[in-house]
Amino acid sequence: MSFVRKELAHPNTTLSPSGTSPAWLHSIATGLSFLFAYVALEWVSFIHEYKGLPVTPWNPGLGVVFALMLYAGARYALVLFLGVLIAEIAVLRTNLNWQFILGIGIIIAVGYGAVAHIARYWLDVELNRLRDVFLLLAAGAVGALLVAGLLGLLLIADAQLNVTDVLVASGPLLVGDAIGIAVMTPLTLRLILRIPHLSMTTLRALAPEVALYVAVVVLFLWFIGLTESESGFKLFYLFFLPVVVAAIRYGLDGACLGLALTQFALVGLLHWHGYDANVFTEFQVLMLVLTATGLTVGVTVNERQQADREVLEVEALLRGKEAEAEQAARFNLVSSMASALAHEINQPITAARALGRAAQHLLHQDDVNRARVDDNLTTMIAQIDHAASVVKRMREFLRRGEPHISTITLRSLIEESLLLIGTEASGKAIRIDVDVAPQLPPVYADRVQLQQVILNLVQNSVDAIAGAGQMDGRIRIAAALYQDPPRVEVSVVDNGPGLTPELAARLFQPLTTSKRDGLGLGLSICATIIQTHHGRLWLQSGAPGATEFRFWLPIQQAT
Amino acid sequence: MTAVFVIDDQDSVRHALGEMLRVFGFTVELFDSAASFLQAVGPGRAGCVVADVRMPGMDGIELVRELSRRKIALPVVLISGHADVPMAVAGIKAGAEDFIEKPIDDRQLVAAINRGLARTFEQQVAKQSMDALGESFARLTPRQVEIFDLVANGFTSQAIASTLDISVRTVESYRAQIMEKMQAESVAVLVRQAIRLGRIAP
Repeated sequence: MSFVRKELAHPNTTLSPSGTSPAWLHSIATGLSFLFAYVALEWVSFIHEYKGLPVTPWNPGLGVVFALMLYAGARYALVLFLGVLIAEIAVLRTNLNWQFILGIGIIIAVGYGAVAHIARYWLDVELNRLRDVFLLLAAGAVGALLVAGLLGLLLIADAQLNVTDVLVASGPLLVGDAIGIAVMTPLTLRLILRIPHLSMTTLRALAPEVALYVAVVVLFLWFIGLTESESGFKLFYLFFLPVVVAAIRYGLDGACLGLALTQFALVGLLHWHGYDANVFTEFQVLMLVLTATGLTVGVTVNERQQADREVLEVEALLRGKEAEAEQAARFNLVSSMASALAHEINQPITAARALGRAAQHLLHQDDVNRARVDDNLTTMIAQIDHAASVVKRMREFLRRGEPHISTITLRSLIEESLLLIGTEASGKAIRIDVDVAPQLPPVYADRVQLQQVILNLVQNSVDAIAGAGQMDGRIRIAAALYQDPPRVEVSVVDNGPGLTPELAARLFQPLTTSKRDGLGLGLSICATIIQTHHGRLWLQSGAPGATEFRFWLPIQQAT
Repeated sequence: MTAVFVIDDQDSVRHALGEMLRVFGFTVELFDSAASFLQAVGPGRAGCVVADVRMPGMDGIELVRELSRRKIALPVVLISGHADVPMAVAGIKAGAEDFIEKPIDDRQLVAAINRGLARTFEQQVAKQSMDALGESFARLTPRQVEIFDLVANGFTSQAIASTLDISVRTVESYRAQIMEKMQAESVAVLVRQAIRLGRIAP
């Protein structure tokens, strides 16, 4: 099979040189091996002829070569043509004249070649979808009808048969061809695709189960054989069991193998028992139904498995992306923190240095103004202390997991925050209202961190309103008690210009900012702070005129 | 009055820089935003601007552009917390005198301020002398202008006399009047004046 694979690896290229030996050599080798398979199967499945027509009750050779034509191109119809000639002469030992044999060969080869050629446009030979299986079955049926019709016309024209004979002969021929394609074509296609990936371990693992199926099928056949002819096919439904089980367990591959096993066993039974061909045709019609059922179940299972696999793949991809994003976010957080730290420390250092130089300069003057020197040094020390507090604050923040938890009354915390930002807000004609519910229970949090969150949210509102040049700015800070779980929710609403959906989507990622000079760090740090307090911070609404951020903190239940 | 205008939104930095420059002997005026500075300063003011690059509202680079748009010829020294190369290039391209990083080296800052002040002073002097020259030239009569141009173009008194069909003595007397009105001690000075006035190509 190896040379077949090589040729089939690029089914749509014709005679392109590949590897060390020329492609046409592979084509010929492939053609010859399939020709051999065709003749051998013809010999195995041959039952009898009807006035020279190869009326086999099924046509496995046709199914195999049809698969080749679907996979590698309709030019392999030549294999079918030669196969028919050799089978007629060597297997059937026909006494027909050679022109007639040529006619039969041409009709079969051209008929199925044409159908295969057309089917190739729509059919995916991997048969992964239900649609492909139905297309394949339909192509087989159309081919069988076409060829049976043309052969009938040939026989009538040649006056070998009359119309009645043709009708009698065409029934089994039609069913035989259709079933040959239905059983053998999917099997062959799947074998071509799967054999390269099969390992001995897989085969060894499957062996006991295969043996079980064989045993079951033989048992059923023996049972059917016991009942003798007529009523035998009533027991045919027994065969549905192993085929459906194999289809459910192994998908399309299981169905194909189960069907082939059943079919070969059936032909074996026929040889053994010597059934009448017409009775056998009835069996074959049932077999066709079984085939359609088995393939449908098999491909449905495949589709389901494929869908599951895709879901798993997407999930894995998503997990990878999430991990990546988290990594990037963590990196950004650290690097932008460093940048923010540098900026915040640079300001007091600049001020302190300037004041130091001023004091030094004053001391060098003849008439030293001691009060002014003292003033400068005092301010300078305050600036250095400020720089130190920045460092301390950052270090405190970075020392996550151990915030200094204390009992905090939100009302006083909010009022304190307003002391810090109120001047700036009123300077920008922004009114801030506070609405804290009476008897609000205290929360347990790190005072400094929680104040950072409130300050940041209010500062954002102030900046948004000022940035839009609004003169009627309003900010409302509210805090209220909620249940399930018992929590305090704080909301900061402003009548600023709102947020674009793009900005809202990336809001809590570091380095996201709408401010010209912003570092895009505030909200991501705020969200982290609230998270470490087992609460949540979110954007309730980004609407212009009513932009609202909310966060909640759990209340420890008095025990 | 010549002053240093310090513009920074950060109170601590603004006050500290102001104090240092005052101690160094500059007259200092402080502004917390570019807008308030623009409101306060008129076209007649002389001095040097020291402005932070990052400020809410109009930033330092925009301020430099706005000053040139308003034809206010004040030199601007930009200061920045974290100056990156593109920002510095943008500042200098816009016409800033210098770009200094925080924390500020006072020698660098004072040097930049002095350079800026010197340049404006030179420009002012040049402008004043140009204005004076223009006034002197406007006092020449049309005949004197004619002879001024001929002298500047290198004609001798004889050549001028024959060109204008007047006596050499008359030409000499015109020349004396012109030299006196233009306060030019020599023909060389006169030629330079002609170049500055655009009468002849340098």
